[in-house]
Amino acid sequence: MIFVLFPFFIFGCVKILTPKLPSWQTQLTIPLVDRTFTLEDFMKKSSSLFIDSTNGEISYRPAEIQNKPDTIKLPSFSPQPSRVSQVIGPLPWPNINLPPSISSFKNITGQDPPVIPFPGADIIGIFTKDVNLDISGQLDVFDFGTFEDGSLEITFINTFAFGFNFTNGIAIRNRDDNSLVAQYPAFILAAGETKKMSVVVTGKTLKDQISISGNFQTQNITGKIITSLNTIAISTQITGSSGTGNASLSEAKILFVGNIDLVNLPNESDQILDDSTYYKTLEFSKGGFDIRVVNGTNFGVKVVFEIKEFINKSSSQPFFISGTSKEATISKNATFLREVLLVDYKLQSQELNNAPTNKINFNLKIQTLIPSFVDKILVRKTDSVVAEIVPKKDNLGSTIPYKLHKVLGKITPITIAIDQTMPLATGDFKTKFKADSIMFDSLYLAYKLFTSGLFPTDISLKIYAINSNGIRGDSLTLPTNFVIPISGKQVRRILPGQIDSIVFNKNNSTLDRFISSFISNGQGFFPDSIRIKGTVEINPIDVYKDPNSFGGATDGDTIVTSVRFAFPMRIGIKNGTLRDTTIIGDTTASGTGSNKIDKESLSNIVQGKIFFSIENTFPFQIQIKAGLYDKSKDNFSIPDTIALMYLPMNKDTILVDSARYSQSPVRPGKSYTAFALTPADVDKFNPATFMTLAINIRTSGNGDKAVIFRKDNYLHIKSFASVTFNVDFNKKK
Amino acid sequence: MNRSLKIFIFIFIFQNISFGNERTSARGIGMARTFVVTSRGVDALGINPANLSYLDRGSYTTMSLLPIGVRAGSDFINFKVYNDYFTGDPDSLDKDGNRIIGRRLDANDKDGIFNLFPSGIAHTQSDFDAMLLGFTSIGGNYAIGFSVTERFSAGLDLPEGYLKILLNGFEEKGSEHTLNNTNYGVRWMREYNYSFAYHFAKNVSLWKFRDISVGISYKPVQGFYYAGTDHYNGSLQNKIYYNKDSVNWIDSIQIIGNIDYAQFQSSIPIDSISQFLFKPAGKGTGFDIGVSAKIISGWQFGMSITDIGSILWSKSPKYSYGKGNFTISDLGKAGQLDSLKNNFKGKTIDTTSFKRNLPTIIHLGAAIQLDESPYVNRKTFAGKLLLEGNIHIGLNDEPGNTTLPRFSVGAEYVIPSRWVDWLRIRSGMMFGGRELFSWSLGIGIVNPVFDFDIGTESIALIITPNSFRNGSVSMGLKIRM
Repeated sequence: MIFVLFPFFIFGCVKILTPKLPSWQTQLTIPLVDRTFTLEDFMKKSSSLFIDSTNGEISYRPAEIQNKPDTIKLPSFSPQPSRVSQVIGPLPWPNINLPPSISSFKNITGQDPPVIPFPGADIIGIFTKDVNLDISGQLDVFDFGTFEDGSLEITFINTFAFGFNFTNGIAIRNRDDNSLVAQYPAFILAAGETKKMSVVVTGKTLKDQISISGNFQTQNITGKIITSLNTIAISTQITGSSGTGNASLSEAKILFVGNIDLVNLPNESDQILDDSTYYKTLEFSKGGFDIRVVNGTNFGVKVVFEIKEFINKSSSQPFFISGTSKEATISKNATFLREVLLVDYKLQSQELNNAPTNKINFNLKIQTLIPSFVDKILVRKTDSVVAEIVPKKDNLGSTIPYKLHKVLGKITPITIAIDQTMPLATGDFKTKFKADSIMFDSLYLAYKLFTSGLFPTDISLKIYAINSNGIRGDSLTLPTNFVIPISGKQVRRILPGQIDSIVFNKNNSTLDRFISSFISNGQGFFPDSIRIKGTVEINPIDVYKDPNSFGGATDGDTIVTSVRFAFPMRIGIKNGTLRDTTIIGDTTASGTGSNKIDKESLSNIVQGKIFFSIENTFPFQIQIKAGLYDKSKDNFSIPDTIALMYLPMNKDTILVDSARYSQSPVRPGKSYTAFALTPADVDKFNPATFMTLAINIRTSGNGDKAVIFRKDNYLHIKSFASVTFNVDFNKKK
Repeated sequence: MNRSLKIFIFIFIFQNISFGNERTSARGIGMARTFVVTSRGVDALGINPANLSYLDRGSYTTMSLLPIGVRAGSDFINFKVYNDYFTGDPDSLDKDGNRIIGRRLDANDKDGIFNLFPSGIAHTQSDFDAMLLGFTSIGGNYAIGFSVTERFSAGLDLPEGYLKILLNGFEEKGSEHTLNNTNYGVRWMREYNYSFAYHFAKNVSLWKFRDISVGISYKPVQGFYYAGTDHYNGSLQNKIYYNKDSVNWIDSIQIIGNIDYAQFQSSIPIDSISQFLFKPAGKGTGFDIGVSAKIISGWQFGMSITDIGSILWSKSPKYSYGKGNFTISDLGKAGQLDSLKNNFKGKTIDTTSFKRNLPTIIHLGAAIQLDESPYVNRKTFAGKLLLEGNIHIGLNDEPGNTTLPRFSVGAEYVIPSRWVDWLRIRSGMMFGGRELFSWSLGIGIVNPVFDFDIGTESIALIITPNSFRNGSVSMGLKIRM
């Protein structure tokens, strides 16, 4: 630094004085507020205004509200399992008879017949004859059979010239275990006699190899000529136990020569819905069932199952029980399972002319599937095939109901309660605006209701206006438009696809009173909501009972009500006051903010002015008084309750003339006002963060005459301040 | 408050002192930096490398002993303005004669202050150069030189709009304050100078030039701090709209502004400079080229271009920018004040690296040893008088440089007395540049072993102390071999 000071030290001729900052006056001329209050601002900051294209007038439409839709819920049904059990039952005797047998003299006595008349005495012996049911040269079709019902008739034909006395009768036994099949009592078979005897064999098992035996004694044989042609011929016949009809078996091992239908239900029907819901077409959103066939036989079965009404939604194909086939094959002693989810199908009525129905029609056929002439199969009469339809169950074991999704047909009447409150969206207008009275030239309230369901719908609703205190005003009742035949009852009914729409106005209702009644003698506020309350009945009972009527509905169909409330801006106002608050300072902190003048500097203010420049295109005079407020100590974003100062500071107001609509172009009313501020005034003004504008409006005729509001109506308020002050940093120090 | 402290405050507070270059040749400072032709030895390093090949008062080798140069100055304010406006009201004195209250500025005073802004912009610049090591040597027709120099430069171009905002505010009749061409720059760099010169043989001539010498310097440079404006334009205005029907009424007021600026910054960590003295924030290469020649007896011409090149700043490089227009018509409307604040505050982002040019300058000069010239009677001319004139044209506005051209003349006189033939008296004047005008004075104490030179550009203070606006001094010791 010594080098910098070099010139001064060398020459020493310059007097350096202690620095002291100068002071001066400066100005701050800045804008404060530049706000245009349009008609929309008057009514609501976010309301919608629309222009009548026919006359250019502006209408205020504070509400066009579509309520939260009410949902139509279609019914659900609790399905029940169904079961078809088919037991095979007694098997018909396969018409096999014991082959006839012939016994000669030698066969019976063991000796050749003499060529001369028999010389000896009567012979005592045992008659034995083996018989095989499998006749040589024929198919082996029978192993055994246990008779469920049967009798075995045996016929003896004696061609000998002498008789036989079967002293203990005749027994037919199975050869393998010597079990008795039939025991015939003692009898005498006279010479040349044909004798028939029958024994019930129910419960007896007949096998394919039997023997016929019994003790005998000839009668009067002596001297009789015996030839080789003389025989005892035996034949049998198996019939029902009564001696007629066919015998039957409870168990047998036989060779089947053809299949039999175990179950054949060609045109069965079942009720899938309740007895009050009919469908032409039907779709479900939930539910399902299993088709289960339990084959309890020793042979395969074929199941043919058709549900005529079922159509696959994705393929439009009919219902197939297996793959793309109506048939399913089930092995012996096996179970077949087919899962059916109703959401995959739609039901189409198969009635004549597609008439609504509440049933489904199905075919069920279960047929044996036995490989013919291959092997003998053991069959019992208790063998069975069970076919079941089992509704699906949830994880808790509860049956999942069949949930209707879409129905075209007939459903029982559904009543839905409507209670919707729709805000009029007047924002804070209802609290900002007060008037001694308000006269509307015309109000307009359009109500609409629409249901996406396709059933006739009866509507019974009332419309109320409610203010913020919950006070209900007059109500509007929807008029009737339909007389029910027979009963003569009057209702309001819409047909499928129709929108119920009513426009209320002063000509067809008490709508003007509906709203105006809220404001009287400076008391009360605008209504802030509209309530629609009542019931809507889907498919009323008289429609339901009409056999020719049908409709449609989808689960989740809605009923939508909407209200549009509007009025042309032709209003007569008496002493209407609108208050609006604007921010002119920092609302983010508790201090005065960087754009404020600190207290110490306030004393440096020489003079100040606040200017107001106001332009009015409304068709009425406006009186304005501005209030300046500090921010609330508790909430910086709202003004304090006590005004710092008012402008004008006395009782006067800033008067802005109405626009001159008689002139063309329209000449706005204008006002220019300046207020001089002393330092004390500035001290009050300084912390102002909010400016509240109280705007008093009055239409001509003291509010008795309605004036027309137009699209370009506005109130433009501009305010700016000019402050001259001393800058003296020395003083500040 | 003693005088030294007062001057300190004056320089550092009012003149916004900072440091710059071209300061290490105290001989050149004494001649108003008129040295492109007659600088010799270590004085020629960084000025005109061609001059290295000329003998420096008969010496083949010279070394410098930490020559330094300091200058701080501004055309924003001068000593008179300081005394008039910033030292208080002369009519309000306490019992000790000290001024009590500040000077009350009226409209004329404000105009007087605004008039201090030539072309509406006040230029403030400070330089500090210190040659840590310098060495030159001649061998035959060749000469070499080497030096290490620390160079600090700072500059501030301040439009009068800022002062008008401060003094006049936003007037009721409307105001417009332009902030265009605001510019500041601060740079600290270290320069390593490797110079080479060649002196053509006496019989070599080019056109009418003879005794020709050419030189070139290769200068690796290291940067340690840089902050500078790339561009800065803006304005602030309160515009008054009067009612069309009645001009007496204000219809509306708007504060309108616009801003468009960009700045670069890169530096070593300032809080740990000692660790980074050899780890620069930027690196670059510069070149000086020069030529000198004689045309007729006594006349010598020289030209050089110094600091050709740039530095690539890559350590913690930051780019600050702001651009936008704003209109405030309603203080309460959300966003209007924020728009003003945000536009001026701008955004600072990290960038990869940026390149800034070195303060390139073209120097042109002519000199004559008048006592040896044919224009005077050598027998009757008392003493020895060297005269030189230079033109300096900066090619950019980087710190330490200006595109405002300078013209300077300088003289060195030796008194014709053998008792004081060790004394050199130097003086010079410079016109233009950021300084506008300076009058230099310097002396040199010379002998065959060393030269001690000291000089200042602030000698105008003696004649017109009220217009004093610069402080400058340089000194150095040159060893001869």
